[in-house]
Amino acid sequence: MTCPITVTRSSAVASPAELDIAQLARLHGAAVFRAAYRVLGEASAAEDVQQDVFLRLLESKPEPVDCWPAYLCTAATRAAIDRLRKQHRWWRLLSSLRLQRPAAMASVEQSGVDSERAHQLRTALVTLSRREAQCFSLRHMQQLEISEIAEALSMSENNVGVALHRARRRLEAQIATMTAETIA
Amino acid sequence: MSNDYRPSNVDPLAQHIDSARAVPDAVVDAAQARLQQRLHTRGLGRAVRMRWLPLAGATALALAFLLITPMLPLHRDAFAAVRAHFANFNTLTMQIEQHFGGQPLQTTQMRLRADGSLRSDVGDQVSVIIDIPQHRMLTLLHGPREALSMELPAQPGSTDDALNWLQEIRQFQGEAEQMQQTRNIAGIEASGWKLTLRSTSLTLWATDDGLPLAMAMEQSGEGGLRMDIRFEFDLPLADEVTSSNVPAGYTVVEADAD
Repeated sequence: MTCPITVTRSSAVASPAELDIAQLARLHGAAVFRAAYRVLGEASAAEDVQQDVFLRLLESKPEPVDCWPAYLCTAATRAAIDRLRKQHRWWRLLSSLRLQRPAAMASVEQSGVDSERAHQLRTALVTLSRREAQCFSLRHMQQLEISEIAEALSMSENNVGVALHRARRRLEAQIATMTAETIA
Repeated sequence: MSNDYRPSNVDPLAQHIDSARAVPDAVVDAAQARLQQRLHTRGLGRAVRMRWLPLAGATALALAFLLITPMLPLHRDAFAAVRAHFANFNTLTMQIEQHFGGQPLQTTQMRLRADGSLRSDVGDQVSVIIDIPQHRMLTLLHGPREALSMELPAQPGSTDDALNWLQEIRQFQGEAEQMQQTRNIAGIEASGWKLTLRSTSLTLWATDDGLPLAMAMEQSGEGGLRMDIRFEFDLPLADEVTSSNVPAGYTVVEADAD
């Protein structure tokens, strides 16, 4: 599968202060949005994440970044997962209002087999630990290399592998349950 | 980058991953255009986000109007009295009826103090309290009698700041147009004002001396969400109404641990 983000290792290490943020947004804004959308499945929420990622860049202290596409993709994925988990917490807590959810969050993701599958995966994703969800999303939804994930999340490659293995097993079990319930 | 987990077409997890990876080009292009436009015009001023907690949507929308009205560029003189009411109240009580697709969704009562503290009662099931003096937010589920308390973020503008939209809305610009027709609200004749704020259309009804009585809001981008709001200014409000102290009989529940 073709990677949606072309990650190139640059010998030049740039910090936000040295960069034109507008140029970064122009080059990588769409990829950042896609990364967030894949996790969230909702355009408005993904757009919030996209803007937060670049706003944080403007507000952050300059620090060296070796690979901007991977850095931005990771930032978007992490923010999107946090947002997804937060949404899930609220909807679980406010279960009495759950019937409002489809109306309040109407999106293109409400019909079709693909949409149902995507919804199931996102629902299952919030049952993972944050770290497992990050590893899984970066690997399989954003298609980063394990070495890139390890670097981005400050983990060893072995630990990334373990987290991925656990995530897959849990997701497979969750999806099998959801599918069985759907059929029943 | 490549994916070493590329199972067969019948692998359920792989199918789900493929489904989730699909992103419509149209939404990407639209988001990218808005991002670049904001970078160009305001140095990445973020979009007005009236979503926050879906539960508090009514609160956010109502406050959106309150906060943007002082900056409306048109009809300054005619609108001055209306703005004055929203700017100088001690308390403001709003009855908010939400409709979706023409069907009633819920009724919310929102009570707001001048310091920004507020209480939003969604039907008889849930209350959300933002306690500015104590810098806390309290959510009460009246059915199971559960309470979730959390600290408000210290720095406005930070990510996940529950009140980000307050500051963002202040940057909002809109236009007001006085309507020809009048409306009788609870026996009082009111003049109408029309405003369009991005995807939200507002119709405000106020007396000739500028006392706001009612407002209708429609969001074209949220699937046909409509809100009808009635205003009452400076009604007495007991301290406990906007207190984030957990009331007796409620069990404190924790947010999920990671």
